[in-house]
Amino acid sequence: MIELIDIVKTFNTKKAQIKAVRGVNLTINDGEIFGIIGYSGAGKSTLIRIINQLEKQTSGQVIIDGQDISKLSSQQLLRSRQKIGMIFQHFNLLWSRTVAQNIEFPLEIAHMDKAKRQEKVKKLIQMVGLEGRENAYPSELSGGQKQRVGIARALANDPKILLCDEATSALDPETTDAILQLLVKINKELNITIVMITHQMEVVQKICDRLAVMDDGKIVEEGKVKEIFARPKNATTKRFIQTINGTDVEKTRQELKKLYPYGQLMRVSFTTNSDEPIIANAIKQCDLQVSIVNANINHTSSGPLGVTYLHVTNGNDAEYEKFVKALEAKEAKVEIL
Amino acid sequence: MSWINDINWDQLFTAFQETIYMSSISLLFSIILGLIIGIILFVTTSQGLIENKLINKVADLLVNILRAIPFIILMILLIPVAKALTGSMLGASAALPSLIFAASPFYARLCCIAFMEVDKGTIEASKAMGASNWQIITKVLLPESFPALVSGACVTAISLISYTAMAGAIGSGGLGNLAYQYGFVRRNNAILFTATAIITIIVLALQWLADYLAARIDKR
Repeated sequence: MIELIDIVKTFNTKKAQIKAVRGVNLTINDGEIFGIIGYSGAGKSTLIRIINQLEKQTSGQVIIDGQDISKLSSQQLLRSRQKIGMIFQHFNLLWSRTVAQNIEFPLEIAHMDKAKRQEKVKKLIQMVGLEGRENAYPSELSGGQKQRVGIARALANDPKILLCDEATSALDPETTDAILQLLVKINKELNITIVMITHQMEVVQKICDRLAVMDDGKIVEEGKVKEIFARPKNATTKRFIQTINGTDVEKTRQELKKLYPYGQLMRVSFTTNSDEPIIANAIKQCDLQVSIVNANINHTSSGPLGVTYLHVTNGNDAEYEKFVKALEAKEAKVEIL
Repeated sequence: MSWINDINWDQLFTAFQETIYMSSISLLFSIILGLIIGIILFVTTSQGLIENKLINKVADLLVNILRAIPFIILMILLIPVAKALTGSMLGASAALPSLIFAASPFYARLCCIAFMEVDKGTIEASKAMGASNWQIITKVLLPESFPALVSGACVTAISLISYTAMAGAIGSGGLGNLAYQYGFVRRNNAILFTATAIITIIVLALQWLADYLAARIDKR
């Protein structure tokens, strides 16, 4: 478990004092994939570097598995860093080393003997799917392959935590998906806690269990991904979710109201895991005319997440109520517009 | 082909050996000292691995001062040092201290530039893996900047060869000395041009070797 308590980080430059992180409290549980999302300058890069102490916080505590790591001696810190893997946006591979030698590097740092190192490298190359590329140099690899090397390297010393610093931001959508699948596989098979910072909402949506939204050095919203997607509270969060839904909720509402001044407009968001046809079943129970006027379904790590706008006509208030009840019985959230 | 008779081949060969001796020994020491000073400059810089303003400023000043003194003056200033070390102010060995004093700060500066070219991200990644500063220097900084260090060493070697020619003016021996004493002072054009040609060939061969090596080791 990673606990961040009252983390503050201030950078002193010649001209001004920059408060990158201003009082962050977070708890990240073992084995979960935790996303921290924010625009550039929100302080998320600084925050993730405080977890492995590449940056020292101005005040506050970082506690990993009960150990306050800011209290470690520099030798102990080096050893504990070997158990915290990290991957980067620009991969940060050593170009003078081959794929296999890059992956071997952290094992050399940990003073593992040569025979064991080579055995381990072989396993890691297999795990990230780079068989046959062992002797290639990074300059001969594609972006996705480079990140696979980065991941293998980060996993070499069997870490318990993997920090991902915008790990997919330099990759095309298809490669991003492949890398995300690999991260999920690692998370499941090795039970590694993954902390990822990103500005891509779709990344969080696809693989994260929980999410924190960062803005101006603070965490403005935190919770399960599905819950935040279904009911975002903070303005920054809403903006991020719009990048996925493509539309502004308020705008949609106004446009639909103009188009359908009669009947009843409903915004239905459902977050269940079942494959049950929620809307269709609710319609069967009533005698209403229901048309879907706007819909958006996203697939998160814990099942589909849908927002559907329904235009319901041909009924009275009691019937509308019955329809809403039928939807709510299936854990859908209904808003009458 | 009468000019060939004007050349004392034994003398020329001895001068060639002296030039190679002075250049290679001073290059070896300059690379070692330059690397050490370059590493000190790089790691103590602000945001460096072992930030230390005082050491950085002192090393920087020392390098700048030594680089500011023209070689011919440096040589004269270092005559007492040469005397103390080799017992004489003449000969190839006596030229070594001034050659090393001139080339080390030069190479240190080139090393520092080479290190600054190393991707900061790879250093950060190594820190994140728990590498010690020593491991970062030996396993990341030096290998990642190796092609630049090699071409820097070549530039330094070429400077050293021309320094050895200058050292000839105060009696160090070598091809420069030969060209000046026998070629110019005694008006023996055959010696003058032959010595010049040999120096040129050495420099060209060196540059070719360095380009070849740099291309071989650069995997970017």
